[in-house]
Amino acid sequence: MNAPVLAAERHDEVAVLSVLAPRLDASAAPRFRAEASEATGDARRIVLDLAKVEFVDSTGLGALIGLMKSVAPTGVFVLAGAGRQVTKLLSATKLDRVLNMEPDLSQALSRARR
Amino acid sequence: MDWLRSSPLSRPSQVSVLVADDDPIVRELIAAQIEALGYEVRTAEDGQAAAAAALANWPDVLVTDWSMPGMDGIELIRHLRAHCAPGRYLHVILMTTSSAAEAIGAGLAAGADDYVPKPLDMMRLQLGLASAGRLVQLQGQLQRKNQRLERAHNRLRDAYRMTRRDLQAAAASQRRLLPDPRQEGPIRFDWLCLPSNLIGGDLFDVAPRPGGGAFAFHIDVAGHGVPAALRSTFLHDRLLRAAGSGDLRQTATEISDILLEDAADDSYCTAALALFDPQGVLTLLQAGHPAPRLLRRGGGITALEEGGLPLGLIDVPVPEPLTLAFEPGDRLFLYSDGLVDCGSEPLGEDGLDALIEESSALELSVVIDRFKAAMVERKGGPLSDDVSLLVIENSR
Repeated sequence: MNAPVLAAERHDEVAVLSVLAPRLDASAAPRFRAEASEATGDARRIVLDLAKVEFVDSTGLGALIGLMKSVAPTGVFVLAGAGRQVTKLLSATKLDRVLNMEPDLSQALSRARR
Repeated sequence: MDWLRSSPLSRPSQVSVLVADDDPIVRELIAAQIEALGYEVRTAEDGQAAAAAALANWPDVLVTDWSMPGMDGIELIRHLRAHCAPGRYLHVILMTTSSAAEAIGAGLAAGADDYVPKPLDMMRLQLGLASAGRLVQLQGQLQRKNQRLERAHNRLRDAYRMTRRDLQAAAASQRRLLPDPRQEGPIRFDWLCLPSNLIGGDLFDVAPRPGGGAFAFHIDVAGHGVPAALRSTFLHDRLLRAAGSGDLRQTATEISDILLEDAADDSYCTAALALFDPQGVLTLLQAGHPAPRLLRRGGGITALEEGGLPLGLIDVPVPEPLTLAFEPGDRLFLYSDGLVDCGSEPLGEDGLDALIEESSALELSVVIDRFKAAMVERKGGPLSDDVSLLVIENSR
């Protein structure tokens, strides 16, 4: 119940946040927000790794975009490893047009460093 | 004995001890020594008297001799164990001249916690009382904690019941906001709405336009339950302004600004706003909503994929509306993602199109019944998302 939603590590100036919870939904979103804002601190380059996430609902999507907005407009936000459901959700809501997305963490990291 | 002092020992005076021994000299000697350690002590001259004293005023610890006339120590222990009220604790120290394993085993079987050999080693008894005192204290803490938990549980249960009543009242008033299926200018409409937990963030309405047209909207506010419902109710009024102005982009921009201001909780909505003019032209603004379906009278379904981002999520210009022909007999299906994603076996987009196609010759109310049956069949448990569908037909 109280397992962390996120694992965070620093790769130089890039904060890499890996979502550990399989569902980023209304019940996980408040903790996601709190843990993400603590983990990113003043980092202006963020990679969010969704490889372990199977499902994102509308509230989870809001939290994810909230994180993106926290580094906008000067920072960099890259989404890594979005699965089928997440990709579909992002394309249905047209958010794939405004998000930087990479298939895996290493590509996301090199993009965030650019 | 530093470890004894440093351990969280309860003050002996808070622990009451009952001493049962038929030998008056031994009894008074033990009682005096226990009292000198600071415990509260009572004495009884045999098993019968000890049982009566214990039942009248329950002790924390019983120190009893084994062999006594009438009720002996073993019988006394059995009797008190049998009469111990639920939640009460009694620690029993049995004094015995025999240190044979069978004798000690019989004492433990009867319900003794500890034994002290006779003649009495006072240090041995002191240690037994110290560990008894600690157990008594732990037992007391546990009991107080249980009582607190039970009170908290009761308060939560009452709060839950009250919240549920409030939610039911809110759900009823939210349902009253939904339009009655009817003819409105050039269109006729009907709908299906299944909120996931009493009240939901899905909202839709249809309103007449000056000059004989109609306006319709369908929105899905992120989240479920009370916050989403409050937001969608608040937005309802603003949305209906488009019926008067006919300016979908202006209304969408207003909605977006309201939600962007509320930055604290990442609130946003997906939306489809539609104007129907009497000449059979449909203007549709689509903001992150699941692709509306257009069913032509002669057959053929189009998924209206174009459009833009949800409203209130990112501060960007709202999407441009599309203009389409909407001829007599054509139908427009506006729905929330719950309709296609929800349930143990989701309907999916293919299922949606198949159902639209199959029911194309049926009356609107029958179309809605078909969708309702399909959702009930698929949901397999409580809905995880709000499900709603608004079907609009050019009825000219």
